[in-house]
Amino acid sequence: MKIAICSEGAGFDSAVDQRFGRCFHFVLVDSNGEKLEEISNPSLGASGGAGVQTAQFIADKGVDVVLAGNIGPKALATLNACNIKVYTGISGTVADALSQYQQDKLTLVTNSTVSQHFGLRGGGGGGRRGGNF
Amino acid sequence: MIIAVASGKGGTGKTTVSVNLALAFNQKEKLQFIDCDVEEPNAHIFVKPVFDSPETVSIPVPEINEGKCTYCGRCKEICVYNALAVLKENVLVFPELCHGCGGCAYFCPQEAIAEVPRGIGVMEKGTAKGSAFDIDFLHGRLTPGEAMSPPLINAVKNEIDSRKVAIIDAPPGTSCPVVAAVKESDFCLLVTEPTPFGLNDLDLAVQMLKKLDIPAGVIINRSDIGTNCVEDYCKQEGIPVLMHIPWDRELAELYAKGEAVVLHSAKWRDLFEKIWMRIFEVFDSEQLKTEKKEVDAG
Repeated sequence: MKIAICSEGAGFDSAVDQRFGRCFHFVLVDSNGEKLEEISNPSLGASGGAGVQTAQFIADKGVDVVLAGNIGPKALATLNACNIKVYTGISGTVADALSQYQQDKLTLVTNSTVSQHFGLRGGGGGGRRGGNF
Repeated sequence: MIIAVASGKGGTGKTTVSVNLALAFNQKEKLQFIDCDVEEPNAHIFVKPVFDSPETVSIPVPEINEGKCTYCGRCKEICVYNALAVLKENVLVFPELCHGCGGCAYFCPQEAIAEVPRGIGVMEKGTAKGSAFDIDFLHGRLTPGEAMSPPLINAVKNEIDSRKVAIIDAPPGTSCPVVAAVKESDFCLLVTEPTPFGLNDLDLAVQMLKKLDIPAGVIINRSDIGTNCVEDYCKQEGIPVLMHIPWDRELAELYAKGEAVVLHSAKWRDLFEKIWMRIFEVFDSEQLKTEKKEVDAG
């Protein structure tokens, strides 16, 4: 099983990114929590539809579970269509997010947790590094 | 002849100028008024046309024939707006992201994409008749929440009758909707106010018109406030200032009631008739310039 965690940087010590479509990096781990891959998000600067494009990218990577801060409606629809499970509510570092998942502290979502364009506004705790709105 | 009324800055008086200009036009039955500010059309409040039933304006969006689709992903590669997601055994279409370019259907190797219309707003046509005018009136109304107005603006502009004089009331700004509204005009009136804010946005509008190769004239509204900055700028740029509109209680009171001042005041009617003369003068001299250029080039 492949788990993708939204993060601001590469590695377990990086802070999680509250955004999905415009998050900086994904840390991919297996079900034992072993790191498989760190990838930067190619859709970070998309002019529109970043959520859809990022979801497509994650699906193409063969991911089964996404751990996110929040998720928008189009990204969720795309991930759901591929039977990718989305858990929201991560906080702290990538390592923290992983243990929150393993301890079953996250929420499995079927409805989007934020409205569209959330990531353009800097994304809550995710820092103000997103596109200017 | 197509005359656009535009401005960089919002709230400078585009609608006031365009509706009064339309209602002061002295050749009955020869005028079309086209409100291209489809996000907030409001010229009809002053012109008071009687509308026919609205027509829906649509853009083409993709519909996937899953029987033919091989999930090759060509369509999502083509789509720069990310309106398509191609998954293992599923294609998702997000119509609200689609700009209606048709690229996905054109490039689909399986011909598995049909284009179906999605309504983005309506066009309304009508006529406004008075003792001194008889105007063909058209406007578009974009559905609130829709992101793209240019397809609706283009649909409304397709109704322009080349045998008539058309006045286009453009949206404010200098981006896609404004370009869609003013392009192919013969002349553009830029309405501004003599303040640093007005000048800043006027300059942006002038630069846009230069790129579109449309001759311009300036109308300075609220001309008794601010500074000489706009006058100086127009001199420097060689753009004629066609009219000054000072603060005027009568104009403001009528505006507040949704009435056009030229229908109630001979003084204002004369002023707007004079703008028509100035427009034709500038237009003729631009025509001469173009002809001279062509002769010189030949």
